[in-house]
Amino acid sequence: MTKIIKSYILLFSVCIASIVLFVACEKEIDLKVPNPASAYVVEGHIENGIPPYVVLTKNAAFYGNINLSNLANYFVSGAQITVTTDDDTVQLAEYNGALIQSLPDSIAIALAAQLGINITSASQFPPITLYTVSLADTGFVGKFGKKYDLKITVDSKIITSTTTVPQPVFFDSLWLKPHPDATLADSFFQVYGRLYDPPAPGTFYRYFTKADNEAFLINDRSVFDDALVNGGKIEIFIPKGHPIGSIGSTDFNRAGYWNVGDSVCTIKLSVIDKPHYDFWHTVEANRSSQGNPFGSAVYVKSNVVGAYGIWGGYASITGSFNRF
Amino acid sequence: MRYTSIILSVLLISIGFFSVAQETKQDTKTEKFTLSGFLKDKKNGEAIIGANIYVVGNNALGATTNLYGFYSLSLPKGTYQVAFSYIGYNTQIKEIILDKDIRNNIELSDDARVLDEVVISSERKDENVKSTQMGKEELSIERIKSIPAFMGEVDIIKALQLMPGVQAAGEGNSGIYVRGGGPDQNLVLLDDAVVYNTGHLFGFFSVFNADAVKNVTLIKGTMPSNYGGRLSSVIDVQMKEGNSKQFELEGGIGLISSRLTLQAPMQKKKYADRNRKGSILISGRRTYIFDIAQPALKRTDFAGTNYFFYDLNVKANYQFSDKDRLYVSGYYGKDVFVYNSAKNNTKVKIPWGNATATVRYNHLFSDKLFMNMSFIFNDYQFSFTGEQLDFGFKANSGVRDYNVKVDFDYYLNTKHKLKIGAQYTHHRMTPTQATLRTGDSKFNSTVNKRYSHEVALYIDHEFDVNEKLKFDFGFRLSLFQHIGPYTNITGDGYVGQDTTYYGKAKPVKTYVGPEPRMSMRYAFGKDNSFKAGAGLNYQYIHLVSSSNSTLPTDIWVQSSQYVKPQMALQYSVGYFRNFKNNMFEFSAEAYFKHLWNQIEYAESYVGDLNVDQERGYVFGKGKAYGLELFLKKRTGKFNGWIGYTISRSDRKFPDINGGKTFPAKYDRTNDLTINIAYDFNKEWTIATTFVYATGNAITPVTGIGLIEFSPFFIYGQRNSIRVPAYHRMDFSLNYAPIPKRRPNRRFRSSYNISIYNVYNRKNTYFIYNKVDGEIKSGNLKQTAINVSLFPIIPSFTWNFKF
Repeated sequence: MTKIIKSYILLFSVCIASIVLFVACEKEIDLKVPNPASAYVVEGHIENGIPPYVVLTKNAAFYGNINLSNLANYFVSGAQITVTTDDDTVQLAEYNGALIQSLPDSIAIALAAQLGINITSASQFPPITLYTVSLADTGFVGKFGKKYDLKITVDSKIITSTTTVPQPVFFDSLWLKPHPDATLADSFFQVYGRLYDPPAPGTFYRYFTKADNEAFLINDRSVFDDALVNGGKIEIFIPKGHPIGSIGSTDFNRAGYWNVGDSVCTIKLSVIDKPHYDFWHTVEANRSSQGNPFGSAVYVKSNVVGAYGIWGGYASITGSFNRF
Repeated sequence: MRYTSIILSVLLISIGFFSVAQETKQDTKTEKFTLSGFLKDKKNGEAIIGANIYVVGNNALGATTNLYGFYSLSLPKGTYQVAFSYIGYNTQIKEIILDKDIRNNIELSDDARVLDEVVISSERKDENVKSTQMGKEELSIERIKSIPAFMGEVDIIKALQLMPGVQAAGEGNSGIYVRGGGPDQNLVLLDDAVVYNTGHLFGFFSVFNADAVKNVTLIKGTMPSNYGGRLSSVIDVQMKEGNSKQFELEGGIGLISSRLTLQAPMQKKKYADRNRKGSILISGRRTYIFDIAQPALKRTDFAGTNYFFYDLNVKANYQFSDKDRLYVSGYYGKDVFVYNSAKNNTKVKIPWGNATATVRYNHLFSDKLFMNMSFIFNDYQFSFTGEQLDFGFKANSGVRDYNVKVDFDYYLNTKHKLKIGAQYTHHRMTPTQATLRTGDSKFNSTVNKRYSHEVALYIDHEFDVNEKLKFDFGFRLSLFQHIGPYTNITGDGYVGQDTTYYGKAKPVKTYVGPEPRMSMRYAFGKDNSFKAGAGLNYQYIHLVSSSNSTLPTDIWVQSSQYVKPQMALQYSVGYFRNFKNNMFEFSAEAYFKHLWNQIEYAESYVGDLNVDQERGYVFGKGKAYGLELFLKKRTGKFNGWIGYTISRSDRKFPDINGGKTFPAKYDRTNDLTINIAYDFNKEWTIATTFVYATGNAITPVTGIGLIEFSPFFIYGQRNSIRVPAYHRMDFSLNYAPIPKRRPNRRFRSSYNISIYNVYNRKNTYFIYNKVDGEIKSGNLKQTAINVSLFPIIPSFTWNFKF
């Protein structure tokens, strides 16, 4: 349903924009904008069967030029991070880019995939810092129905949050359909899925897609809820996403369609809690206002206290089918 | 607050009535008679609104015509020189021997040559000094037509933007902010019917076709108590009644639209000797600029893409007797936008528009008691249909009201005038109801229509204590009730949670608003006066917009258990002075407004069609204050005005900006407008307009954060920076040739050349931020983009009339 209003706003914006831009003149402007107060951004997740990980960054000034050479400066090292569940606590270890690059390829590739990054060897791992369990604690993984508390101590500042890994739900069936435009049917196809929403109201979903052996892809609208169909059947179009950190296609005829060359189509459906849903919902709205003349300011709704960002649990089930 | 206002109102009304009782006691000692009647335009029979009737030599003995041109003046028995006067018309002075009640219908002429029975004397054009009303601007349509017009389209709302205290919502936009209030706080009436969306083409043009409009009044100060339901202002637009003397056709061809207006008298021959007559007016306007482009688009990817708007105004009135008159008027206007892209397999159609219908019946019970009864319907609908291959989206929203009201004007005597009335409105608000189709699946939004009753009773008492002192006491009691069918969803409003159902017409939530109003004038000598006013207003329906102006997608939302009525208490004081026999008019007005229950979207609000929009609101309070200076030269070849406003409008919301006070988006520190016209002779006029305003307050993006290697925006303090100041100059040249050989020929042409934005200032329409590139590629770049809209735009319009 989120999709509805967003596509509505987008289409309407396109229409207004086409009129406005018909006569408008655009020019870059140097606004005197105050620098933002220094703040941390938390990106942490725990998923069933997978150890928790946290990426801790600092915010940047709007005109701050982030590029590969200074990217490492935005990643925070030296933080003390613990994750606690009802019967266990684990202290996360810090891994910086150089350290990961020295690990065996298989571990580095797995870590990168967790972040949604495609690499083929450890040396390609980006110059970033992340926190996850030490090799001794790899048994600390997310479990369905459990609550996880996060505590970060950095530069004498304390950042806290709580999340849950809910009970999972998955598609009852997945199927393919040709591209609705016959002239494009030779190049693209669509994937649809049907799921039965649990009877209790308030189930929130995030989905990821993957073609063949690449890392999971995300979509610009990656979350949905059961508000309309609580306890009922949901049949949805599952658009193929784009790699994280990339910009999705804006070509209406291609965006979301799968390529005929994709032989194994993998869908990961994660059930998330409401604060986790609100975070992605607002991040996606915030991003859709970027470069959108009619976009309105949407403040990201973080679920961490003392910083921006997310500490989110995923209850995931992954399913795939082989087209050939 | 409520109890204070009730006590205050009772006190004020009691003072008023006590004085009436005293007067009445004295009145019985002297015999009095009433002079009453209707004032009309000699040329076309149109009622003249707001004209002055007064006894020459004693300006305190006077009256003003109401919306239907009726006046009533009670005087002691005697012989009087009575003047009938209105701006732009020749004043008539008649000797009246008042030894009985006299009905005297007067026709005023604006033609200087018709002097037979007319005596030109010192005109009483000092209404601004003499009345108690503050913050009132009245513009005649003729004056509006002389103002340089954007793309040649004469626009009454844009003319009002040139008044102090009134700001344009944006470049070329016909939305207005009055004294620091939002665009939804203006009550816009067309022949008593509320117009919910006043803009065509996303607000660049107003819906009022100037050819069909007779008069427009803006009240930004204390509202008389017959108006209510909004906090900031009243914009009361009266349509022409139609020429009751002769057939008249006028029209024009402009850059983007053409207009045609037909007016004709209605009178059956057998009633020619009686007072049974009427007139009819039909007026239409349609744009065609994109229609012209259709052949060129035909062979492109965008074949079928079009935009147009049209307006149709119809009005008829019929006088059944000297005491009864019926008016029927209606408006229907629509914008239609069609976007087709064959390449993208996309089709979009967006029609939206207003419809209003008003039936009014006037009856004169006596020379002192005038009644008007109105039945009003108004409707605003927006819809959207979009299709792209397997996806389809439909949405619609709107407001529909049924309204009945009755107003009595009771002219007790020269010192007391009462207005009493009642009004009932049934609202039906349609939130965005949407259907999404993806392949074979369909999703429907679950948010339902809302229904409510709005009732108001009012009394207004004008009291002339003596020549110096005058009061206007008013009290309005408003009631609003949200009624079923309605399902209340607990918690955060998400579907699936606990619900309570209210059946049809069952009350859900009721609000009562006592609204006392008072204004006074104290005159110093002939040309000076001091005025003060205070008033409390309630507003029960709201439009919250995330953009700077109102868009057709914005939804009107009614008060409910979650949305309390907005309230405003305004105090104002003013000094008014006329110079040089009323050639110049000067005023200085200061105001202070307290605002409660102001509404904004929550900072993290993302529209969700499954949740009532009201659940995304947050509430706070505000204040607005300012000083308005106005100097007008009313007569002479060289005429015009200068208006300057310095003001501030703040808001404080616990859930916005960390609870800290921030400037409202309607806040403009400085606002200067200059409008000057020079009439070379009866044929040639030039006019120029200059406007300057502090730039809009916007919320800056101060930083970015990274999530999944992509940036999200971090916003700074709310409305803490300003876009560059807005200024612009326009120019117009009017030529209305008088045929030399046959000066009485009915067919007349006039030509207008307007130049918008003469020095091609690139004013900011809006600023948006964008991020280009990707971190992974190392070319991430953030920029702020300034969008300016209209460069210098010349236009040419040909108007005709016969």
